[in-house]
Amino acid sequence: MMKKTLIYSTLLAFFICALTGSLLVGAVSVSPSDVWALLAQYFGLIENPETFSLNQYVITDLRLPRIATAILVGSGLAAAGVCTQGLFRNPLADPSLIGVSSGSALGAIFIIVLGPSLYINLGLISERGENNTANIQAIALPLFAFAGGLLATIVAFKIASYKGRTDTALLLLAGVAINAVCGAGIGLLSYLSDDNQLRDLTFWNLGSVSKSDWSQIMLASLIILPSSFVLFTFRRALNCFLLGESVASHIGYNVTFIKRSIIALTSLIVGTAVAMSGVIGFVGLVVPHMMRMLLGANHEQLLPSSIIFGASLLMFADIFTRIIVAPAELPIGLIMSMIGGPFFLGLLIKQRRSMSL
Amino acid sequence: MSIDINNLSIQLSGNTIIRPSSFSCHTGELIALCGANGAGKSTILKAISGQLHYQGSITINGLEVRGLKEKALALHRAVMPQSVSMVFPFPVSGIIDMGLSFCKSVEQKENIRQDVKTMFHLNDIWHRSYTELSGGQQQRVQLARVIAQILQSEQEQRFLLLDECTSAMDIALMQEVFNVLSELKNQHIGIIAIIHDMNIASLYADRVILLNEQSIYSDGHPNKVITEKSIHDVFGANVDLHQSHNSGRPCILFK
Repeated sequence: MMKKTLIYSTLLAFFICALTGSLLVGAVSVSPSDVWALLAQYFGLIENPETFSLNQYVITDLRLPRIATAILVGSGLAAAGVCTQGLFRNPLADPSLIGVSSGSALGAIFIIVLGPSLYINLGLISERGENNTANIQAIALPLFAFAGGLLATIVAFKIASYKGRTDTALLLLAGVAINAVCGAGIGLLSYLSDDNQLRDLTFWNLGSVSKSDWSQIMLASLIILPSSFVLFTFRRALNCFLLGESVASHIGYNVTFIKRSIIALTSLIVGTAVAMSGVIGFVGLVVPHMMRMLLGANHEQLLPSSIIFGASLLMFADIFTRIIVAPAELPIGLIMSMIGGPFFLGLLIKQRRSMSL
Repeated sequence: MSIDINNLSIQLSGNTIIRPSSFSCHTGELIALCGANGAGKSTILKAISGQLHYQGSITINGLEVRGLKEKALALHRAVMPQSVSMVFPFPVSGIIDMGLSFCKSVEQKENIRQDVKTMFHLNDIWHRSYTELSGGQQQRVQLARVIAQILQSEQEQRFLLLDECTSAMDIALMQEVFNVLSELKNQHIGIIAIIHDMNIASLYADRVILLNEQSIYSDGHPNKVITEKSIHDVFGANVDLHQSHNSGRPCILFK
């Protein structure tokens, strides 16, 4: 009990450090007292002086939205990672490794490149309705990213599952195949895209938390937060899934319903995260693994701790993107791959004896 | 109330796995399901536990198994499969809690935890990770989980379906487990257990059902079912049969 309290306190301290760092660190330096005053103004705690300052713009229009995006995407991807690993009974089942993220990216890129002409053909907008295109795009993007992610999860699951067990090698190979197919699709769409679209596509492939505005953040939070909450209600069932689907069914859980719900919800979260910030890999691999080392595999602890740590990790990664090559920025997906790639290799080496790889 | 199996037949991928068979198991009874490898023992147990499609009828406490939802079934019977693997580190106490997923109150949950902890001497390994345990210890923990599940049920008549529940245990543990099962029979619990060791089946079972070539060869008291001829017919083994001094039950020795 003491150990758990200590771990949760450390996690919360880590979260607060990440949050504070995200507000303070960047190309423009803002003092802590200014940040506090600006936040108090923004949330209406003190009167707004009605004069516009650069600091105000940096904090409320640049840093706050990217903090909110990092929290939503980090916690969502971590929750999705925990549940995918629990469902597949496999510590390597990260949404980006098994192809869910690239499925979502393909869905998103499909709608970025072909969406505008599709809307005109379907009669949803007139040829010059640029504003309408943006409105429809805001809804279609997460929807197509979700559909792509869902399809990829179902394919990976069908290929790798046999008699209630999931084969690690098959799962990873299915991921390789799905990533290859999606990569080809993304390549083809890139070939068809114009210059503006190509810039957007580069963003999808490298990931960034700096592109979302408040309306996108609100929409994403309406999807990610309830989905994560519903996943949390499956925590005990997920524990039983660790003993195999047939045992979970013997214990009394409706395995088919729970499995389908988890697949749909994780795809929804990954799809929304990809629609918001592009492909950011390895969060769903690194975070659950570290939390499992600290708190064990019980999902009652694993899910909330991973949600807190996932949000903190992405905020920290975002701070790094801002300071490494300041005043320019590195894409956050690149930072996460630099952390996650070696971590994944280490995990493979550690696991190679116990798994049929 | 009982488990009643009438004209049960099972086909998988067009092959007949079980020919029409019928038997019943009442509470307070331990039935040993025996037979050669591939005779269909596990298939019958899977059908009773609601995992397989079947023809004929299987009822638990008067309710047809194929019509029951998972949670309803879980309150009538608990199942221990042949092997249960675990990839992630999980404490033994957590594995027991999985069996208590539908416990009504915290107090009842704690009582059952303590009961199975004492029953299976889990004190020493209670906080250890399941993945670090030996095969025999893991089996003991799984059995404790299954028994915890059935003890949480408020049904008066409950059943345990055990598939080779002591296969990885040493003889002392095996004896302890069957003594526990014999005591559980007195709590309105019926047990159907697949047992490979015919001497254990003979000593502890109230009835032995011998399966041969996908159907029931004989069904009855161990003294009636376990004979040199039946062992030869079912397993193709030549054995000497002796009678145990204490129990009066048949005891098998290889010739």
